[in-house]
Amino acid sequence: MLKLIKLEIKKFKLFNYYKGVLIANLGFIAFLSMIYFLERNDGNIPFENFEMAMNISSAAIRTTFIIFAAVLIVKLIIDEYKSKSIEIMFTYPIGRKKILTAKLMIVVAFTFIMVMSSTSLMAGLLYFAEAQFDIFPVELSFQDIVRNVYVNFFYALATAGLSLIPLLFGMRRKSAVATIVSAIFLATVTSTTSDNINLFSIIAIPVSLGVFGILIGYLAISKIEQVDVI
Amino acid sequence: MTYIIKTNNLTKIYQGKEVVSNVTMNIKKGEIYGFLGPNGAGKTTFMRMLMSLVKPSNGEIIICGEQVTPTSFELLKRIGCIIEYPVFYDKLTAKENLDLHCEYTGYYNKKEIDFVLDLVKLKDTEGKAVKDFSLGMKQRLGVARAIITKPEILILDEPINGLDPIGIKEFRNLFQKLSKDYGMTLLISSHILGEIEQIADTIGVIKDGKLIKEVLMEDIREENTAFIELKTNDVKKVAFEISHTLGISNFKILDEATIRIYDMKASEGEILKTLVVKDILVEAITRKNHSLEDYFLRIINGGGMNA
Repeated sequence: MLKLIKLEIKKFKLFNYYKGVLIANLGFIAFLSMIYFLERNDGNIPFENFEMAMNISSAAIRTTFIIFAAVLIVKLIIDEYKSKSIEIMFTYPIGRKKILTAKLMIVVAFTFIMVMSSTSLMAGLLYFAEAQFDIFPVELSFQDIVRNVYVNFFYALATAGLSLIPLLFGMRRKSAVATIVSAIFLATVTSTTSDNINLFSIIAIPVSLGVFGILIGYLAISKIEQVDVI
Repeated sequence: MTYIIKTNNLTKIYQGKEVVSNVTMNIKKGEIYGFLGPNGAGKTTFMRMLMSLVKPSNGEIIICGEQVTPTSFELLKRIGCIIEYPVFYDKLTAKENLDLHCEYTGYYNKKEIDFVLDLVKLKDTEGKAVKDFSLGMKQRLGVARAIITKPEILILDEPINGLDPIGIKEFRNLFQKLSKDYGMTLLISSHILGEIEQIADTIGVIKDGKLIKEVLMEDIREENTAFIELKTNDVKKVAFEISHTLGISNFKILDEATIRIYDMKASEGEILKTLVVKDILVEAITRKNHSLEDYFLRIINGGGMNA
């Protein structure tokens, strides 16, 4: 399996995506700083506390990487079907399930690692900013940080699972557009925040969406061995 | 006789239509099997079934003595193929594509990459992405990919599509070499008769999903000799004269005005002379080589002899 994953990475030169990831992270920093400075100039308190700042940044991060994951799904799966190179893959002495599992694992692992590391980066920067410039009106405690790590880990896991949901729409007609559009929709719905509350804050929603995503991934590969490739 | 590929009543139904219907095909080890048929006859679907890309609706496939099931992946190691249009990872070079192919098939003799690229005359394409290749070059690369791991069986769907005449000749030699030197078994489909007849040992003709004929090339060659066709206003007299005066017995009266002489011991000149002397009017006399093309066209148009 590890070898299949390595070959996929080599085949699509996936490490070249580091540029996109870098730009996205710079974007998050810029986004958060912008909110901070604009609000402050208006005489408002930009972030009431650490948690609020983290909520905003993790929503941005989630949105970005759900869409990023959809781009990967298109590249690794939908495009292979469209260009018919999946036929070549299926004439190799490797189970079809294994081939597709490797691809889905890349998507899930990528999303998890990216969400986790980007949120950690933001948390670190916020902690640093608080220490240096005292950006929050309330004191930032160690417990806040620990709690945040737990929450982030859990959110990253849920996001990784739900990143497979666009597969449901994309695989039907092997459509790149359907995949990306459903990802944008999903990202918007789960991240729209009002009064510091979004769908992701209601614990049942990220859990069920994450499980649903994994289920879709499973369904996409469960019958692949019986299917004709035309 | 050992058959390396055997199908029994292989059938594929798409939306209620039998695309491949009850095909029982036997391919001997080491032979070149030419698979002929018009466009849309079911050649590609049949070959896809052999590669497990398409699952049969009915019937069975036995390759190397093993029955093919939806999960017999190991068997695929022993088969190299080009199905329809050769597909590659377009942004990669020829070498990178072959390298990936070797990795996926579990073949680690990377020196072979240069060897096969040389074999199909693609050695000087270094650094060029496959998307910039012509159809002919892709076809060559397709063959290179199919043969690099030295599989026992080669399944080639229209491999000469898009090749120039020189390329076609090179491929013909290559296929013969693979069959003779490496003992590979080749199943080659085509709708171009001329190509198949030059290399195939056995020919299978498919029409409307049915295998209507499976014959050895040797047998067809014997069956199909040249003949002289004669047009006259009195076939009976002609028949009488050629059998009595010239002693020819192998001829056939086609209709009231045409007669075909299969016995080639008398030349056109001799026949003409005999008939003119007897005052029989000859409107036309032509020598024809009843080519394989005619033979197959007759089979395909006639719906088959043993269908």
